[in-house]
Amino acid sequence: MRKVLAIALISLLSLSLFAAGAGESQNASAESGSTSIVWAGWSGEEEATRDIFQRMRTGYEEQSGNTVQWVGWTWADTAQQLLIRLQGGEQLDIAQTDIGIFNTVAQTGALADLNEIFGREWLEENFAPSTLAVGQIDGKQLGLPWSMAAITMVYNPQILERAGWSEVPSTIEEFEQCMADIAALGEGIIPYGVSTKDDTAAGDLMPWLWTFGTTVFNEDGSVNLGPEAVDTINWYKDLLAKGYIQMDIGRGDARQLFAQGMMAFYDDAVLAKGQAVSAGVDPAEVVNVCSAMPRPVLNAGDESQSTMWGHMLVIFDSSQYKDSAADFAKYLLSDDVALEYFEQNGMPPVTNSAANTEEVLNDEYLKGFIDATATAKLDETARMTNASEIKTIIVEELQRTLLGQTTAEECVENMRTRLNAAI
Amino acid sequence: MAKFRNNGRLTDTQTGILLVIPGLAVFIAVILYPFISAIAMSFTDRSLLNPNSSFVGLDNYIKVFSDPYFFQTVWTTIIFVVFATLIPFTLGLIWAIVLNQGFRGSEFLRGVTLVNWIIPGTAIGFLWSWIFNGQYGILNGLLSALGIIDENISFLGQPASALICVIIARSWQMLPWYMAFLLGGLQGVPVERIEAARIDGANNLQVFRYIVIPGMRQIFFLVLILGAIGNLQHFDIPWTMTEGGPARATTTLSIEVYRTAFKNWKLGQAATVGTVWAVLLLLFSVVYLKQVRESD
Repeated sequence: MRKVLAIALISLLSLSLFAAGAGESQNASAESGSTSIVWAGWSGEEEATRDIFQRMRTGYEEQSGNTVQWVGWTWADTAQQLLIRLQGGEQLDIAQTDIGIFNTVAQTGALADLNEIFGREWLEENFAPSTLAVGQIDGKQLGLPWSMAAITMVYNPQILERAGWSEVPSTIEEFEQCMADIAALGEGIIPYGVSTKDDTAAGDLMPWLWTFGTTVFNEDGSVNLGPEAVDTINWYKDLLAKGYIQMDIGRGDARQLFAQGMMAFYDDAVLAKGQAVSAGVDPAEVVNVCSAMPRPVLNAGDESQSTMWGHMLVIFDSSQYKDSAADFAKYLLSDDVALEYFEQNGMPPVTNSAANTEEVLNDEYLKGFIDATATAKLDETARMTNASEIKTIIVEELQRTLLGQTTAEECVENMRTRLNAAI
Repeated sequence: MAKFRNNGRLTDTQTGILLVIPGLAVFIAVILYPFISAIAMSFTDRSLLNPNSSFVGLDNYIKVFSDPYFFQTVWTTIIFVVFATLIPFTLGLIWAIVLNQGFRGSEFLRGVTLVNWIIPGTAIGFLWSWIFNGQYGILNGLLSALGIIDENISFLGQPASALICVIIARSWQMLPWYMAFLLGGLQGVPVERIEAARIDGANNLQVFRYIVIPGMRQIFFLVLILGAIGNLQHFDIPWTMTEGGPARATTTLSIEVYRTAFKNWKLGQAATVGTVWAVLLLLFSVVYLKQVRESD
């Protein structure tokens, strides 16, 4: 028994010494200028972007001597995992966020003001003011733009051509006719893959509400949902009744069906290209099967509506290695890296130097998204702390109406009541 | 001096206490403390967005019980628990009776049946989502190929069918679990009694009704209670298949807790729903423990 105890004690002592040694070695590494930073996000987990994210990390590690440890989740889980990690006090230095996740994380007060890290001058020198504005909250630059464009509608030119449309429909009336023609092809193609499930359904509904002339919220934050909201919901119902849209379609389903040539229109950001390329389409040929278009308007001459979309990099205030994180962010934004990301995945670069290269300016695929960006608006929940809750309410009430449980009028009234309680 | 007897050795009671301490410590750290902490949290406005929180009294309970959709969630949970327990129980019993016949290959079949139970819930959720998918699902493909349907059915897009689909997936997952328990129970029914009944002229149904069921009453009860508790706690299949939709049709209490905590960031309110959920679980647990005690 004593022998066993002695062995156990020696083992414990050895482990303690090993742990202390490891700690010293880590400190030594920090003292010698080489640091290990944690980079979090979701794209490094996705098939279409896993390789390029790996190359970004290794490229930076080779150049700087620092180590970048990737911590990733699915896009849907990223916000909650970042919050949990932050509350748990785990190391987080830099993260990839989209506009929605950015806002949620910013509300915790955990983000560093990048004006202090990069310097205001450097930021203004490298980004357009409108681009920088997306990452600003209360005068602080909390997000560093990484890739930015708009979520607009994409279409398959080949399907439209088969349906007799050489031009994209520009008004809702034309859009409905185009969908009718596509349905009449009898090829089982879903004319429009507007999202009818999960949070993306709320994101897709908003630009249609704007198209019909209303918003979810007024500028002062109170609920708006004017009479046009009822028209919008009734229009959705009509599209569903005619079989132009379907229940149980989310962004992921739409991407998959679109890539298979089984869907004519859906709403997406530039990363639609990555999906098409993953499905085997030559990057140079993507525009033949996946092109951006302006969202049809209610009356000719109206402004086409789209939602601002973008990925940002954020640096955490609690990070001990803010300088290394900033250095890594600069590497990711460098022309070579940003242009490779653009070439492989269609992610438009945002720095003045990369965005104005011939390669980007002449890209036929990107043009439609960039055109839409000029008038794109932020998702109405983008600056709300309970964005997900708001979206859930919108989606649940929309689904109830589409399923015939409530009328469009009841839908809007229920949304109003629940949103008023939630804000 | 009463502490040590037998030349300084510990008494049986003292040894017993010492042996219980590690288990008790783990129980307190892993179950009791988080449970009490969650109940305490249900009286606060704790949020994932802010580590600081304040006491809000019964506000969260008032909010939860005044939400008209909360009772729909409780009702959906009850439907899910009842059907996701009874369906695999019934099918598991039938399958156990078949396997209990001891025909050639029955052991192989028993092993194969257990595969469903080994597969993780999320994988099963995705598997059945693919089967029921309204656009490219194989069930639609099959029905279409057989000429039964002209247009695809959105199984997961309709409230009633979505709940049925989720129950089917869960039943498929749990069938082997019920089968394994019930097969064990069947093998415990005395063969002499069955043979005696047959000599007395009892047919198969009568043997089952008057010999097998009474002999397995206790195991039926325990399996049903444990199954119901498992379903009351279940999260992964409904979440991966429908995320609680459409229009909350498949939102059970577990999904409500997850959504409130990790989508709406309201940990305090999620703890409130969790407490109500725990009370429901407690009812089943009490019945279970009572039965276990009686059987002892």
